[in-house]
Amino acid sequence: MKRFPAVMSTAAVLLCIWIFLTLSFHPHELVLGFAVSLIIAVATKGAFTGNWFRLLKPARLAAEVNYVLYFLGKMFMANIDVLMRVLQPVVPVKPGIVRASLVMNSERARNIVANSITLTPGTLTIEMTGTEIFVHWISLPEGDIHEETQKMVDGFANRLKRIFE
Amino acid sequence: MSNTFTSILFGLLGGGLLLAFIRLLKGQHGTDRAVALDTATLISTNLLVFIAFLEGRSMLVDVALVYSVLSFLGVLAIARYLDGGLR
Amino acid sequence: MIFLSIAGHVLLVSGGFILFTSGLGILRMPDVWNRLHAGTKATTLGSILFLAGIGCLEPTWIPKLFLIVLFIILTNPVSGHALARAVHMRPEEKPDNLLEDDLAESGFEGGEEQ
Repeated sequence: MKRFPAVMSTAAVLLCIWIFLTLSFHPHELVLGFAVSLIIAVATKGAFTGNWFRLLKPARLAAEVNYVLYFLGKMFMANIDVLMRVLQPVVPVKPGIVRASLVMNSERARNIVANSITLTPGTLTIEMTGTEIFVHWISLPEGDIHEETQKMVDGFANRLKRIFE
Repeated sequence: MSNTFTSILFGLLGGGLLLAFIRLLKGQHGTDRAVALDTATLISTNLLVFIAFLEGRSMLVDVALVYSVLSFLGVLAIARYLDGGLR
Repeated sequence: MIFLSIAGHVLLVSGGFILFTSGLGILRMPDVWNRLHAGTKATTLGSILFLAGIGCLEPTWIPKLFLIVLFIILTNPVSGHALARAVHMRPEEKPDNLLEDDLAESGFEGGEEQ
């Protein structure tokens, strides 16, 4: 029963989705939804979400809110950036692929970092190996490009380390 | 919601969809077309929700939800094929 | 109520405009990776704003719209990443305007999937 917390957290997420889709709190709906989500969660052994109950500790909640706000701010900037580029008569691009190191314990955290980088200003994750990440820049930053890329990756990684470690 | 406002929104979404489709027809390579298809499906998901709002039919929102899931799977399958993983 | 209506209209127009720019970016950007920038970033924020605007005008749909937004945020970078990888795997289609290419220097050819 080592996977029990993971199975229950997957079931909780699936039940939330069920309630959002049916929009009814009738007991029949809830019981049926719980049964279906439990079957799916047991069949997949909770692999979809892992155990996210431990992310609900108060100390981590602050770090999570911090990360989400940082990410949303960056994403908004990203879109202003793309918009400005597209609307100019000649699209200014200076593309390049830069390597940066990314060492994290949790696979899930690495995944979140890669996805966040894809959604933030001028950067796109192309490839990941065990300890490295390759980032495509729409326009290479001023100064030392490797240092700037590393700084950008660490901005996400350090905030996530506070949550996952 | 006034008529002009609806037309402006249809113009913006339809225009974006049209530009993506021009790239889909023009694209030099298969990957360009796949990227254009990815964008076109997302814009049309939004268009579907907008039509659901105008018609007042909540059923179309479910259609949009399923469409976004299936279009994601479709783009992923195309990407994996171009990648050489589905040989 | 009037405030919600105004907010909804503003969100709809800004979301629609960003979605339009994503289509424009797809057409105007010079090479495939830059097109992917327009195709993943702009459509994500555009969808969030547009669906938030619909949610302001039709509050009973908010749960379903929230699911669509959540799904778009989770899946959009994944499909973008898959397409970016696919370009790298096809050397004959790779754009040749890169100023810096660490990925080619590292000699990484993909190989077996983990």
